[in-house]
Amino acid sequence: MTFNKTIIPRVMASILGQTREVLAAEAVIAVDGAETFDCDVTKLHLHDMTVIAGLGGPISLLIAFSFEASLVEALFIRVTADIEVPDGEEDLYRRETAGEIVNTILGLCTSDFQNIEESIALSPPVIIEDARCIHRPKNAVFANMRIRTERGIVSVSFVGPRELFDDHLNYQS
Amino acid sequence: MSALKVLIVDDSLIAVKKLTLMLEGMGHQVVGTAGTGAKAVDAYRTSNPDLVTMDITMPDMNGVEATARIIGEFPAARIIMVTSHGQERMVIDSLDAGAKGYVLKPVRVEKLSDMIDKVMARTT
Repeated sequence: MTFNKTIIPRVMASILGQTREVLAAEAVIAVDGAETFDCDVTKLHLHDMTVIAGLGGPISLLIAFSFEASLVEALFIRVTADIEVPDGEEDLYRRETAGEIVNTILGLCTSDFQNIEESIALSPPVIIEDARCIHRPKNAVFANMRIRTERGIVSVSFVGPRELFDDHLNYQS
Repeated sequence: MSALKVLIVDDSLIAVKKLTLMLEGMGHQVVGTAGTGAKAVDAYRTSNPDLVTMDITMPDMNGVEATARIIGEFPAARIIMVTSHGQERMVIDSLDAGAKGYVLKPVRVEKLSDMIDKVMARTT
């Protein structure tokens, strides 16, 4: 296990910067600001739609982007503007939109870690739609960042070491 | 350039639809899609494309490994990585596996078109 929690502030800064870039480029949505709650968080609250992906190698974190419904809707409308969404498949495309946005943000974040020799693997996004609260086990590290946009909030949670949890954030003892 | 037969490998429905629109807008024909690295190898065998766009982050087998498998079987395959993964190490791994080009998401039609032109000019 290569997890080192001192990397979390760097990953946070990278995610904030790339979120700003991707939301502007893909959906013309501006980020208004962000608050961070670094490493002293004891529980995480997930909103209605959460996208979870893992950054591997020396970063070893699960990262959960939990979206307010208003932001998901705004992203869905902008991202699917030029493609056909079949009737009845709107919810599928909402989930796909959120997954693709998170995948793009995290992929671009890896370019902020060029000094790391080892490849930084990125796991495919997993989407969960049940709001829930996750308490921090003693041997885990939680941190949180709340990004405010003009269309709603996305809370980004950092959970490490990633080996302690499955891709749905269930604790694996 | 004449119309190319293109295989799109990406696990994102949105990315597949957007790439299809762009490629068809350039006059090319999308002859197949695959959502995992393992399916990409099978899809290559059945569709025999002129060009592949390959994502990296996918379930089962990632795009770098799928590229290596396709090149192992079809050494002349033209594969362009189309991915958000921007770490230099991953770019090098992809080129080592046999990819001919690398385009970062979010994809813009000009970037993709330029890369296709460069790859085709080098390999035909």
